[in-house]
Amino acid sequence: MPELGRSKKGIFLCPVLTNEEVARGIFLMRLYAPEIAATALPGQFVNVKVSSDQQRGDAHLQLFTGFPLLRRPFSVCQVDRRTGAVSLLWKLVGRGTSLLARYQPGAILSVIGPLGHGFELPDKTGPIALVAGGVGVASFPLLAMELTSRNFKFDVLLGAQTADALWGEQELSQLGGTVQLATDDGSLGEKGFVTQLLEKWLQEHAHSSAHVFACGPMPMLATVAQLCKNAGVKAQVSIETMMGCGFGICMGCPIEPAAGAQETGHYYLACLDGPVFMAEAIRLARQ
Amino acid sequence: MTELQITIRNVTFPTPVFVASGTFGYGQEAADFVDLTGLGAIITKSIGAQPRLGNPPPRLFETTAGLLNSIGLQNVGVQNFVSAKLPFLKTLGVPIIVNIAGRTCEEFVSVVRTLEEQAGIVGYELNFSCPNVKEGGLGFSQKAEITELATRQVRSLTQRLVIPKLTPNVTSVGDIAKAAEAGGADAISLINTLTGMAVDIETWQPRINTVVGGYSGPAIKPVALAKVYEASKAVKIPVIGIGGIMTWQDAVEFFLVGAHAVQIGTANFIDPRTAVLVTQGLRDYLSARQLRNIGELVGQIKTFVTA
Repeated sequence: MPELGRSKKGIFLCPVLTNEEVARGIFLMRLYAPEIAATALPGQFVNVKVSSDQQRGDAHLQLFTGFPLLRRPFSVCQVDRRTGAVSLLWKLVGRGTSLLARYQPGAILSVIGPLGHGFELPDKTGPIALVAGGVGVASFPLLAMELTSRNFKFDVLLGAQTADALWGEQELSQLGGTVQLATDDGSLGEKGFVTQLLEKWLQEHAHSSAHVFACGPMPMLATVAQLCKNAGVKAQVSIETMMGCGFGICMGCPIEPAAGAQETGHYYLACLDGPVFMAEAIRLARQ
Repeated sequence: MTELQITIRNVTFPTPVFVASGTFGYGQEAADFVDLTGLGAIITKSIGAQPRLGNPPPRLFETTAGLLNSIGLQNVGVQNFVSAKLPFLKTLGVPIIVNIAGRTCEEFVSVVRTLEEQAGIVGYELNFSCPNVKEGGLGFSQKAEITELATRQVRSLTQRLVIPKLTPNVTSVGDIAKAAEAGGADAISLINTLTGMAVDIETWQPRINTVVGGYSGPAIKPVALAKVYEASKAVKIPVIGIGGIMTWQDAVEFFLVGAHAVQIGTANFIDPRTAVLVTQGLRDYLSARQLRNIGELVGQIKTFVTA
């Protein structure tokens, strides 16, 4: 599998261009970040300092006068290399994100990126499925853009709790994907989990050249990994986890190798070795 | 001589702003973001005799103004450090202090023996105070006599700087500081993390795997200042202040209460350039006040005159 080029990371002050609620509790924020737009690879992330003190205007001061303390990691969702815009799709979950929702165009954020090891693209054509649960869809537009530019065809399986919390159908179909939907309550697409869509997809595409890319909550990823393993299909999973720094100095985001941490004598770090892993390489907890 | 240079025994540091152990990896990880040659010293992630896996997740939890951790001294072990990490550090021209974490006195001795064969190290910081390992760690620097004994054993092996790193989790940090001095330490550094914990009220589980972990960040700065103040009054050797420094203003406070140098810790996670920004702020502060060197701040706190 060809490795994509290494991206140049840095710390940047990025003006907010837009910040809108695009589905219930799901926001799309566009930032002016030309360096990141130029080099970010599918599946990589940025680490954003959200601050309760954004009215100070000086983003360096905001770093340490406002709270919360740590940066918040977000997948790179879309990049526009022409305009230098980078968009982040994020879900309102806690203190950091409720502050982020208040950022208006023109506000400045300190952003570190692009970070992490992203998706590896298949080296030959075969059936491809992008499987996302909820805001896990965040890293797929950039991946879809890359797949399309290489003339890969792909299916997109999107799941959400309800129709109004689902984002990405239109964006991913415009980028060339054939989209199927599932909602927990059946308000849109199939009723049930996105992994049920994947189960059917695998029945049709269980092939050694098939490839699944998945992002979503841990139990969903565990199910994806199991289904793909049973079908003999390669899967890459992008995991979400608490991180301290995002670039390997705090060692706060250990991920257990499939063969066990005690057994192998080491952990992966989600920030450096991930956030994307081959599903068979790591131990995915069901809860 | 620049205004920020300091000397500890026979070692000159270009600035008094170092990066703390466990918050800067082995240097290379942060090189993408900051010019490492602007640092006063790099203190490495703790090294033990053998590689160490560290604790299972979750290892971190963020509190209102601080960070709970239980990394568990994950490290590559001294042999891998020498072969894979030290060569890069040696190229920087920045003083390198290796932090050593032993479970026993013998482990400290064995790691120092191995490192004594290597060039490019100016000193050893002895981690007597990690709260996240079952044996050794904290137990060491909670007992004055063991602190003195372990310091003395390392002292007998090396001409390099010996700097015990002390815990705040004691009744009298002054007594422990004196013990380190009696054992032949060239300086002491403090504080390591406070013990702390947090609980998830949905699951009733602790937020970090070890239940109790190490608490760091801006929340602990007042505690750190008090401990540095106490320790610096107890000993004649230089004190290196650590604990919640985010800005140059924070660093000035540490110098005023008696620190000769400071270390930047948790702030590196948010901005790995912090030590360089603090250094610039100190330089501007000194020149605005027409002070010739950083030493003119050390211990100069003006306490209120009581009747």
